[in-house]
Amino acid sequence: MRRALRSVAVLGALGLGACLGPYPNIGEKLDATSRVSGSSYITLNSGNARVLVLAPLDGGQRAAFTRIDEFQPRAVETLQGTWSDPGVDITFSTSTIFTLPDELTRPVSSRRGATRKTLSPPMVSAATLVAVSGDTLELAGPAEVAGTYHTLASRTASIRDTDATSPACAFHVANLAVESSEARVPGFNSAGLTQYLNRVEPFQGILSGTMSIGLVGLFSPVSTITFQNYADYEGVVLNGQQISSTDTSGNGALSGVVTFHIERRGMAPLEGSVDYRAVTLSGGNESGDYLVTLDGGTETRVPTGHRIPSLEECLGL
Amino acid sequence: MRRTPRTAVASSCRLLASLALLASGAASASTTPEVVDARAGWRHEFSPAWEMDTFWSKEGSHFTFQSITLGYLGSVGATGPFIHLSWVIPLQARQDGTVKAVSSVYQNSGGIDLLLGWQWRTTLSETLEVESGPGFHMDLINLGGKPGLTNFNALQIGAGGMGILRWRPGWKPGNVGWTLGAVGAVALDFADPLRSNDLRIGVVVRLGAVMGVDLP
Repeated sequence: MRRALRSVAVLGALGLGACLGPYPNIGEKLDATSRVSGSSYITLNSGNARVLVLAPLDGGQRAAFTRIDEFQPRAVETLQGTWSDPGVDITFSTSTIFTLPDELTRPVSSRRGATRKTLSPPMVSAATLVAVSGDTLELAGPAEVAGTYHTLASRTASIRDTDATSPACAFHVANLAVESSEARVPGFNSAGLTQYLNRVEPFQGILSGTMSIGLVGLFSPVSTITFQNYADYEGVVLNGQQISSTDTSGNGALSGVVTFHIERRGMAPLEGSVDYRAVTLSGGNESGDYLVTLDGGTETRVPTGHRIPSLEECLGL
Repeated sequence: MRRTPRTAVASSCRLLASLALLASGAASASTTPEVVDARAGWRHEFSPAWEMDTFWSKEGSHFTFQSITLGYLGSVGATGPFIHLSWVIPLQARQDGTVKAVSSVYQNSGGIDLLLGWQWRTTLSETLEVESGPGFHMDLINLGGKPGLTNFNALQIGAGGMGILRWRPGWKPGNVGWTLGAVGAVALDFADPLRSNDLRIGVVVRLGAVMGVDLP
């Protein structure tokens, strides 16, 4: 009863200055991620990354797929469903869309944050398989699926240990997985995070592992994200914690360290870490630098915001 | 014994004062006794009730919550302000035909229902009174999700009205009257600032018993 009273009081205070987005469904699951294990491809379009994960059909008619569209500087849309017809024509049936919108210019209190939409009937888009060879998959069709896709492990091999840009490039690849995870946490990047107050909720990675999120303190919120062998697609695994300590307007700082493991075709994997202690938050937006260490080397400052160098340069695409 | 002029003056003053007091007493006794309006005074009441909150969202869902409420009902004067402040205990939640017991998917659930307005009282008989009036309505509910499930919360604002049928037996120990009766309230809610105004329209109905005191 006391907790219920406190929750209602907190909510009343929140209602005066914040919005939590549309009504959720009754008894809705927080984590609606479907596990998809399969080949992971990446394509780039004007600096924006698209990752496509296709589970093998294994003689069946349908298999699961995931498409992660990441937009610079910070927005993500993840689609999950099934794909079919492994001949020339491929059909993607999307049943769930996770969205983390670009709300950089909005105050935290009026952000909608990450949301999820279940589509019934599924949204169908067709593509034509133009070419497939080894590490490349070329799809023609509507803009949302068309492109030349490359297996991620073949492209991460372009990040060479001797390059001065390799820490920044490794970070950009690892950070794709960090941003991808955020899109599936309802309310992320908004006042909706208050529903994790005094609780820790796990979210499974699309490929493996978990990411959990918890919040303590309503008026000086501290949110902790913990990655445990977390992977949304082949080749990038995260571990560690990212902690955000702010006021109710989203002003504060990040801290914590997340380690990453990036597979490279024909080369030793990249092992590194991101220290968030030099990142400040203003109105919920990041500024400052990520402190990246690669293979036990020296700490490199990677600025927040748009990627420098671009993923095209990093992955040789 | 001879009285001195000084003591004689003092005695006269006392007499005048006594006369003045007598006169004033006689005057007050001669005016018409003040008619006490039976509708006047304070009413403080406890009210257990059933409440239904049904609403439609702009995103196309229809939600209905069945709850019990424990409320304080207060009002003053033959016409004057009133407040109905209730603690809401949701028991059942329904969305588009799917019904769930609140305790099966939520924990630490509760809410506040407030109806604040202006009332008029009328007497039906010596012991029966009706009170009714319109008011501002606010309904705040919070259902904390069980592990792995989302919270559900709403802050709905609108306008409503209430009516109370009150029995006031003549028994007044210590000049405190007792009341028993029934209350009904209806509200239409139009806005939910907590939910990005996803509320299209909501209807709240509350029916319950009242028991309390009747103070001058």
